[in-house]
Amino acid sequence: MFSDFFYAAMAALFFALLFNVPKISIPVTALLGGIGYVVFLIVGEQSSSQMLGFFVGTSVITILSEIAARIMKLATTIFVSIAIIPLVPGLGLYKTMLFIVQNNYELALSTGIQTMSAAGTMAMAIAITTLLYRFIINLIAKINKSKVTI
Amino acid sequence: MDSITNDVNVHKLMKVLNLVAKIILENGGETHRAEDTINRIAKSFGIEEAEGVVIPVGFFITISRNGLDSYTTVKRITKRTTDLYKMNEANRISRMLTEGKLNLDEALEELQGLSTRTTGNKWLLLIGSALSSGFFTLLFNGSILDFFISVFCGTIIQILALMLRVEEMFPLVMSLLGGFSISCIATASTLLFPEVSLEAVISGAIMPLLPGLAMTNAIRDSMQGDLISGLVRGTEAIIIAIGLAVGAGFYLKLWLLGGGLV
Repeated sequence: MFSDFFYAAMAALFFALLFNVPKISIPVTALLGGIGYVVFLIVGEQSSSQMLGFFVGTSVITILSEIAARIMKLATTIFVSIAIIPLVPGLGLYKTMLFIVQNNYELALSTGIQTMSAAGTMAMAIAITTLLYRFIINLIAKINKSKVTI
Repeated sequence: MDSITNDVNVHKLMKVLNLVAKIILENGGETHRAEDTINRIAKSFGIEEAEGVVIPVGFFITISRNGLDSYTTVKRITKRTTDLYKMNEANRISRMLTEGKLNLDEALEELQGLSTRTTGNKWLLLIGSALSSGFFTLLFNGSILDFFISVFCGTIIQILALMLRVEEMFPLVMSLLGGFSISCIATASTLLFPEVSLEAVISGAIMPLLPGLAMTNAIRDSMQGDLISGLVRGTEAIIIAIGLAVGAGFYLKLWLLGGGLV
């Protein structure tokens, strides 16, 4: 488990170099990448549902990214788009196409459906978590404001 | 905060909006981020009507002070890379502009500087590509030997990418060549070291080229209602994946035909 954390974090770190992110955010994105991947592994194993792993892993990454973005005053996209790289099902997309090229349509279909549902799950997790986070932040802001006026 | 008083300022504002949207789009920002930025800047200058329609291949902006005389620009975006530093800087400048910490002239100057500046060090790109390939190989249960072969693949890929960057049809050519050269290096290495895991090396080394992020973002865009953006990015992702698979598949076919000796 620790080696998985380390490898995922390192992969995210060097990916951050590839995307030329602001230097200050690199260690944080690496950490988030590692945490997200480990959460994905643990949840996927415990619930024996990989999709739940994708969902929870991405949600954790998104929430932590929103918090980090708020603290460091950077765009959330920077953190999210790099930290989810170890989870992102790019390999599935490639394998789907490779199976099609090799005339192996059955495997292509099952890999393709798996890939699309993984990507869809992750997108859903990001969208829902962002929405919830914004909602809660706005709620807290409103409550604080009403306290002041009273 | 200075408001729009004469035509010169409207033109300047238009120029600022154009530049901001262009920088955000060219460097991997989302379309709704560009639209948001346009609307926020225009609103902060007291523009009554401001509409930005942004799609990944270009944008239209119309602003109008009183609903009668309107100014419109259309811009086509051809170059699309991911440079999150520039995207973040454009974001920061626009935020300072709306908060009144910068005036139009200063913002224009900073944005022009930003759009012409080349950020990102070639060596850092090379290291990033090489080592992220390597660590992905380790993540996919590769051995230390696989790690080094994957690092070599990543280096070659990035050198190819830097050489090809000026060419047209960059994404397709890059993915075809990338898929081909990765499988070429990986299979060649099994001749030298029979214990190399082909699967781990190819999967890891191909990671920096893969459009997984584009796919996820495409679905996310569609969910948020940016349907055109979702379609464009989704198509882009599929084209890249096809390129990679055809490149790799072509070589692996040759390899099998040659009895493992090509």
